[in-house]
Amino acid sequence: MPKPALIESEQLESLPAREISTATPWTGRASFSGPLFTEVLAQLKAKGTKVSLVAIDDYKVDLSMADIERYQPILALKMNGERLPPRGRGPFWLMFPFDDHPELQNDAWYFRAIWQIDRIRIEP
Amino acid sequence: MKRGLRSALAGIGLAVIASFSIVGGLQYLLSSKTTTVLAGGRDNQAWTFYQLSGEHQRLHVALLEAVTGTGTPNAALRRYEVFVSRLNIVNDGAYRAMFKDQPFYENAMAELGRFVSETDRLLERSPALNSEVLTELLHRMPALREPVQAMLLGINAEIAGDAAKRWAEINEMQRLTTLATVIQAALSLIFAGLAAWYIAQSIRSRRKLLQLTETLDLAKQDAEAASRAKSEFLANISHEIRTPLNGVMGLLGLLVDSRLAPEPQSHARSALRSAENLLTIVNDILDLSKLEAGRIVLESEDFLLTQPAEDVVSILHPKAQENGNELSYTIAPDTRLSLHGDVGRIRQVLFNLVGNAVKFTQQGNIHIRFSTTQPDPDSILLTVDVSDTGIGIPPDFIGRLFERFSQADGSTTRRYGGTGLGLAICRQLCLLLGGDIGARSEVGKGSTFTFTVKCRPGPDNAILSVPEPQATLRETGPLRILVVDDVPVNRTLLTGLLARKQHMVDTATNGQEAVIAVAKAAPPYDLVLMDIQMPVMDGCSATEAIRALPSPLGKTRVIAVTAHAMAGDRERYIGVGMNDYVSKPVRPGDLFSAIDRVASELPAYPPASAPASGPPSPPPPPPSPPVDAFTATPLLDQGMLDQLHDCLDQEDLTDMFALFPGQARLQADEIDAAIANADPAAVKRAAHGMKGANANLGAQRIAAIAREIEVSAGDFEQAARLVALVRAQIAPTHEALGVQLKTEPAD
Repeated sequence: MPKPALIESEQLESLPAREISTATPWTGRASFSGPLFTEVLAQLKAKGTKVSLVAIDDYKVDLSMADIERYQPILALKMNGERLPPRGRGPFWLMFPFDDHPELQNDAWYFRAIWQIDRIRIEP
Repeated sequence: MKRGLRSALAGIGLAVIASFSIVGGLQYLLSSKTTTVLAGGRDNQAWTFYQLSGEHQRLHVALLEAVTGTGTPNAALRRYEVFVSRLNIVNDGAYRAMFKDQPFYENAMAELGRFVSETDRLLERSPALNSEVLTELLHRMPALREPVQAMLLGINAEIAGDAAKRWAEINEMQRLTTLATVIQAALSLIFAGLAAWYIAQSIRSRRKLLQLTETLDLAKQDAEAASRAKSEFLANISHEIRTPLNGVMGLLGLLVDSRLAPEPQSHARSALRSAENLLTIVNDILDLSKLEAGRIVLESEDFLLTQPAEDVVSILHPKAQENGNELSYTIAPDTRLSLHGDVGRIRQVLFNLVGNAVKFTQQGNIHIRFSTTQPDPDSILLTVDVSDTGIGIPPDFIGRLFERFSQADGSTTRRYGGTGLGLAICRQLCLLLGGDIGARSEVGKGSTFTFTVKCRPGPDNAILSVPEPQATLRETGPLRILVVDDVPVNRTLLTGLLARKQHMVDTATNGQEAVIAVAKAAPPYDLVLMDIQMPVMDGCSATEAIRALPSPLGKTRVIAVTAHAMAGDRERYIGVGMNDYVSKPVRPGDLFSAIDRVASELPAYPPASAPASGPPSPPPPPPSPPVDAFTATPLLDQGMLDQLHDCLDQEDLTDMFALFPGQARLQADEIDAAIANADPAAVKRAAHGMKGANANLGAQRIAAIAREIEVSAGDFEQAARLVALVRAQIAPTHEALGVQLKTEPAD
C-alpha cells in the first residue's frame, strides 16, 4: 500500500478557485467555490481510474475518473462567499454543477456530493 | 337496421375512445403519483436520522476514549462538531417542515438542541476540552439516548405508515387502471364484433346483389333469346304468308282483268286492294322480324346520292300533289355525292319518312335535305333531314315513336292507316347502318325526322350505272308502252284505250319517273306516250333525258300527247327527240294511227294536219268573254264521249268518271292557289292541265273555261271568276257523265 500523502487547507486555497452556481437539495440555489477536483488530484500526483472519497463520519463514495473528467466537480471551500464550517457540511464539500447537467439531478448523484471529506483514495 | 347498426358502431367507437382517454389519464396520474412516491420517499430522511443517532454513539465513544486516554480530546471535539452538523441537518427547514408537530421529533430536537447549547457554553469557557468538561459531557450522553431512540422509532413508524398509505394509493390506481383496461378491452371486443358483423353483412348483401345481377342477366338473356326466337318465328311465318298471298293476289289480278259483271268485278277489286294492304303489313313485319332476328344482310355498292333522292321524290310526288303538298329536296353544299353503301336500305328509310310526311301533311311543304360529313378518310356520315309542315307529333309521343306498333294515337291508324312498324324498321335499319334516327316536332306546325347512316366514299368519277338490257325493239305484236301523265284520268283513259289493243301498259306520273322507268325497263319499252306539262320534270326534259340514255334505251320511241296546240310546238317536240305527236283531247283513231306510224317506223306525222280528224275542238272563245258566255257551250262533248264508249269498257268509264269531280276540284284549287300567289305562269300551267284532262273526258264546258283561264292568266280577277265558274260546273258535269254511263249509246 503506498504511503498516504497529506494535503493542507492552505494548499487547497492556493489552487485557482472555480465557482459553481447551482441548486442542491440541501441548500437551494447557492454559489460554491473551490479548486477543480481534477486539480486537487493533480496536486497529489496520483494516477488511477477510480477515486474513493471518505467523510469524517466514514460516509464513502466511489467515483470513476471518467465521471470526474466529464462533470468537473469542485472541492468547494466556500458557499455564497462564506467558508464552509464543519457544523455546516464543511470544510470540504465535493460539488457537481447539477444545474448544467440534468442527468445529475437525481439521488444517485446527489449522494455523490460528499461533504466533510477527510480522505481521498485513488485506485488503479 | 343498417342505420341502427351504424349508430351503434359510432357509439361504441366513441366509448372506446373515451375509455382510452380515461385509462390514459389514470396512467398519467399513476405515473406522476409513482414519481411522487419515489421522490417523496423518506428513506433518505431515515438515513439522515440514523446518521444522527450514529454520530451520537460515536461522540459517546470518542468521549469515553478521551476520558480513558485511548483517544484524544481533540478527536472527541471533532466528533462533537460532526454530531452538531448532523443535528443541524435534521433540524433544518425541510425536515422541520416534514415532521413538525410530531412529538418524537419536537422532543428530540428540543433535548438535543439544549444539549448542544449547553455544551457550546461549556466549550466557550474551556475550548481545550479538559477532563472536567469531558466527564460532564460523558455524563450527559445517556440522557440523550432516549429522545434519539424515540425519534428513530417515530420516524420508522412514520415511514411505515407512509409507505402503507402510498401503497394503498398505488393499489387503488392499479385497480382503476385494470378496471379501465377491462372496460376498454370489452368495448374493443364489442366494437370489433360489430365491425365484423357489419363487414359480414355487407359481404352478404354484395353477394346477394351479385346473385341478383346474375339472375337478372340470365333472365335478360332468356328474354332476349325468346324475343329473338319470336322474331325468327315472325320472319318465317311472314315469309310463309307472303308466298300464298302472292298467289292470291295474282289470281285476284286475273279476276279483275277478266270481263266480269260489274258487281263481282268490284268485289274482286276490293279483295285485291285488301290483299295489297295485307302484303304491305306482312312485308313490314317480315322486315322488322328479320332486323330483330339479325337476319338482314347489308349490301354495299357505289351510288350517287341523287339516285335515292330522285327515286323517292319521283315516286311520292303524285301522292304529295294529291294532298296539295310541295315535295322538294336539296343537297347541301360540299356534300359528297359519290358514295358506297347500302343504297337500297337508305332508299327504304327515306321512302318511309317521306311517305309519312306526305301522308300527314295537307297543303304544305315537304323538304328533304342531304348533307355529309367525313369524320375520317374511310367513312362518310350521311345525314338526311325530312321536314314537313304537317300535323306534327305530341311531345310525349316522340320518345315512343320508334317503337314497334306505335302511332301517335289509335285514331291515327284509323285515319291514316299503316302498321306502325315503319319507323321501327327505319330505326333498326339506321342502327344497322351505323347511324341513328331521331325526330323533333311541334304539334300543328310540322315535324323533322333526321337520320344518319355510315357510308364509305364512292369512286371520285362516278357515273350512274344503267343496266344494258339486250332486248330489241319489237316491230310487231302487242307493244310494251309507258303512259306518262300526271293526271289520273288521262292515265286511265290511255291505259284503257291501249289495253283494248292488247298492249302492255305501265304508267308514270311525271317525266322523272318516266326516265327512271325507261332506264330500268327490261326489256326496253317499245313506246312512251309522254304528256308535256307535268310537275317535277316536263315531257320535253324527260325526252331529252331518255335520249341521253345509252343505246338501246336511248332510242325508245316517244310520242308527245299534249293539249299544246300552238304553232311551233311540233317542231319543238321533234327537236327534243320525240318521234310523233298526238293532241288532246285524245281521239282513239289519232292515237292508234300515231302508234302504228311510230311502231312501223313510218315518217313522222305531218305537222299541218294535227287536229285532222274527229269532232272539232271547242271553238276559240272571244277575247275576255263574260263569265256567263260559257252557258252556250254544252256541258259535254258528245262526239268525244261516243268515241270513249267505243274504245273503253264500262268499267274504265266508271273509273274515269268517278275520278272526275275530285280531280276537277283539285285543279280548281291549284289555279286558286296560283292566283293567291299572284303567279301568272302557274295559273297558265294549271289551267292548261285542266283543259287537257277535261277535254279528254268530254267535259267540254269546263275545258273551254279552262282554256279561257289559260289565255287570261295575267288577269287574276277574271281568272278567279272563271275558276268559280268551273266549280259551279263540276256537279252538273258529273251528273251528266253519270247519265252517260246509264244510257250507253246503242251500237
